[in-house]
Order: sequence, then C-alpha cells, then structure tokens
Amino acid sequence: MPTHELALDCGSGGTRIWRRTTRGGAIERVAWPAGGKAPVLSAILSSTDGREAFAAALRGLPSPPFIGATAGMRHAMSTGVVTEDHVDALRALLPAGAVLAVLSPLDEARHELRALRQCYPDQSAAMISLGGKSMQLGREGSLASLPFAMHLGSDMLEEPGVCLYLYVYTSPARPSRRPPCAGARLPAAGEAALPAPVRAHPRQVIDLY
Amino acid sequence: MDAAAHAYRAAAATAVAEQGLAPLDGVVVGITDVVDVAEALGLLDAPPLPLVAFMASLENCVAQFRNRDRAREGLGRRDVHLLARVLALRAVAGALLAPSARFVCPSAGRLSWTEGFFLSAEDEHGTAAAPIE
Repeated sequence: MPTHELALDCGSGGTRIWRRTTRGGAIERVAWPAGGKAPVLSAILSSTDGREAFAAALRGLPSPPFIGATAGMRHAMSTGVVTEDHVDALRALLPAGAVLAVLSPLDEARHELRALRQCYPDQSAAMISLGGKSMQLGREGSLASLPFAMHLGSDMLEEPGVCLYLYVYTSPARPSRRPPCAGARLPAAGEAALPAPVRAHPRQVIDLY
Repeated sequence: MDAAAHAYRAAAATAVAEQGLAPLDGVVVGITDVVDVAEALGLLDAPPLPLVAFMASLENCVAQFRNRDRAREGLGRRDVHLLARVLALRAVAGALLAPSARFVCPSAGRLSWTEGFFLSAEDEHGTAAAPIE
C-alpha cells in the first residue's frame, strides 16, 4: 500500500482533509482546495457534475490523497442511492496515486483504536466512538460497529411528524405503487400506534416497501 | 424525544442480538463525537467514572432537555445533535457496558480515524520519531 501524506475523511456530515505533520500520528486540517465547504461525498457521488467537481478540487492538493468514505457512504450504498458504478466513475477521475476506499465498519474501528493507542496511556482500555451514522466500540479482539449514531435520533427530533415510510407501511387499505412523497407524513400522534419494530427501524421499512 | 430514545434502545438491542456482542468491562474511553457529549456533561478530562455515575449524568442531561421540551423551548440544531448523541450513548452504554466498566473521556479523544490510518501505514513501513519534513 502506498504511503499517503493526505487523507480525506468522507463522513455522513462532511468531508475533511487531514495532513500528517510528523511521524507518530500528529495531523493538521487542510482547507478544501476549491474553497468554501467541502461537499459530503455520499451526497454528490451519484451526480456526474458532483464527481467532476470533487475530482477537480483534489487536483489542487499538493499530493495524491487517500480518500476514506465511512458510514454515510456505506448507508448510501446499502440503500442504492450510491452504487459501485458511481464509486468507480469517481475513481476514474482522480489524480494519479489517489486511492478511494469505502472503509468497512471494522476498518474504521481499527483505525480509531490505533489512534487511541497513540494518545491514551492505558493500552488495555476499550473505546467508544460516535459518528454521524455509525458507532464503533471495543478493544483488540472484540471490535464492533453499530450501524446507527447521531442521525438516527437527530432526524427524528428534527422531524417530529415522522415519517412518510411508516405511513405507507401502515396503510394497506390504501395501496399505492407511487413512491412515497413528501406530503405523505404520518402525524406524530399516530406514531405510537405503530408496531414497535416499525417505529424502531423506519429505514428498514423503506427497503421493505 | 421518547420515539428517538426508543429507536436507539431497539437499535442497540438488535445490534447486541445480531452480532452477539459481549459487554465491555474495564476502562472505556470516549473518543470522536463522544468528546462533545463529555464536554457538555462536564466530564471531559475527569477521572474514570463508574458506569452507574456515567449513566446518571446522561439521564440528568436527558431530563434537562425534557424540561425544556415541556416548557416549549425550541431546540437549536446544536441542541438536537447533542440530545441525539446523549440518547445514543445512553442506549449503547446501557446495552454494551458491563456494570464494572468505568468511563473516561480525555480531550485527546477528539481524534480522527485518519490518525490511525497514518499510524498503521507507519507501522507497516517502519516507525521513526523524527518529523517527516
């Protein structure tokens, strides 16, 4: 594996570029070369324009980066919003030497644990890590990743009338082949009446539908 | 808030069952966005805290948000993110930390997986203490 001096952390909430400054893990933030805020990779990857703009920005970096996409991308791929073809299409546009990888949950956990081992003296301590769409926890030999994190709750808290998918699921008397639309929200008052598994896993219900 | 709390508890229980996860004991270090929660709870850089005290601190935070909700105080985006993180931590700590576990959160836990990525590459290619430049 080639050594990179730059790494992009492409998460569900944003993209950050980090440069290692010394051996031993110290890093510093690098500004998005195109100026402004870097895009969320999983949000732009299905768009030709988005891929081209992303790759063009990376050509402004001093060296080819390692691009690691985490839970936001894993979620987008699991729901079909992003496909392997989209990922390959971006790879074809990247500067020579750049590597784009969708990190597995356990790879993400291993990297976080390795970073913790560098900065915390108790080498037997376990970790608990919280991101936008996944959590990692454990220690060597018992690492785990949970496919939920902040967004599961913040989405519900910000949209108390959740959610259109539940409306479709719980309305067999009104079958519709139309995709759910934004206006088809279940009133908050009706949510309590839904089966617990549906309330707990609205995103799985999307897939069922 | 109750629906979100329920969703987190259910998701944690599902993960435990599906992955066969065993409770973590010993010292458990909060990193990444857990640091934001620890800071809000006044636990940043504090000595390791018994699980029961950590859970009580999370409960206290949830109760404060509940009072604000009852008072019809609007929550800003940062509040919503903090509350979601607290609810997530409460559910996961309750499901996956052993009663004997102790929670600690150093400022240094505000780290990125990219640090571990660079370190792993160094491990692979040989470590040196000198700056790379």
